[in-house]
Amino acid sequence: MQGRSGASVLLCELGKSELGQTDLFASMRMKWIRRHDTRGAGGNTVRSAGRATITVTVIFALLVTGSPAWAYWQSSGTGTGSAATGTLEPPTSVSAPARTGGPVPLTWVASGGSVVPTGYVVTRSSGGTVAPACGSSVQTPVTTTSCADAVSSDGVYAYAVTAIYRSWTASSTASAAVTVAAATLRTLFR
Amino acid sequence: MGVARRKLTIIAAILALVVVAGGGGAAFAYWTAQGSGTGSATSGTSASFTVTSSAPTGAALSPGGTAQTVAFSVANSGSGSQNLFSFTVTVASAGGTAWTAVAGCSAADYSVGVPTITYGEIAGSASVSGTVTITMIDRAVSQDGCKGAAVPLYFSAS
Repeated sequence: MQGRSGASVLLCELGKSELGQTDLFASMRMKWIRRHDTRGAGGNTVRSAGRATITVTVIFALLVTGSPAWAYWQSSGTGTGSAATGTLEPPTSVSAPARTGGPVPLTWVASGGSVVPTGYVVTRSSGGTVAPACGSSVQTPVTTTSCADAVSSDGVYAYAVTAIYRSWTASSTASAAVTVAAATLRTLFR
Repeated sequence: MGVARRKLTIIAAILALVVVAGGGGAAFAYWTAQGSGTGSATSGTSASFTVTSSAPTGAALSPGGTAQTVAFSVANSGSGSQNLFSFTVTVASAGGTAWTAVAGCSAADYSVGVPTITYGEIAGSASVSGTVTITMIDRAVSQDGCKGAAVPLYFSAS
């Protein structure tokens, strides 16, 4: 058990009945002081009056400022709960048709879910080498669901699209392999 | 009032005080005897707080996104008043241990707000309710590991 300290504790220790007796005691002392003052008593009376005044003042202060005494048990306990984290869905259906000359037109389906990506980063891979496509990057993502990738070398490529949302990313599955004949395009324009 | 009368008044007051303090009553006569016996009394004891929570409300957490709110209740299962002066909520596993169940995601990815609850005495068999908010921090590193994670919350009341 714990109780409040200070005035309330003192009040608690005194108890109500004792407080009543204290009031009576103070009243008696005041009467005694008045009696001796009228007789013109000397220093003892003055000192007694001073003590009585202090006594009455302290009791009055306790009565006025003291808060009710109270007590309680101390306890503790624990519990568990949970919060749910959302997710960023990847884009789907990345499509890159075979192309002979000119940029490769890419399309994909936007990410689903409640978290809307701020953009997409497109990558082109060939033989284990991955390179940015469509001029996209984390800093400058594509904000639509299509782009045109200018390929400088003939080859067989696969494209992937990664959704970006703050510190989250979500990558699509790679597109089907697409054959790009970039050299033909250069030949045609010579 | 004369001196004699004042003395009489004081004496009377003291006598009254003695009578009252001593639990005065009518005079009576009695035999005296001695004896002994046994008995017992039991003091109460504190009972642990019971903390329960509800499912979170609000959109699922995302980096730098909006907060979820979790409502909780602290119940005094004892019969006497118990004081609640502290309540904390952390992202932690049961028992307050570090949450390591999800690779690439930890308590450092989340921020728990200051619980809103009224502290003080809880009467026996009574409870108080409160809420706390949780947000996901948008860190400068990949937080993909946190996607779809159920974030454990650990409540501690004392």
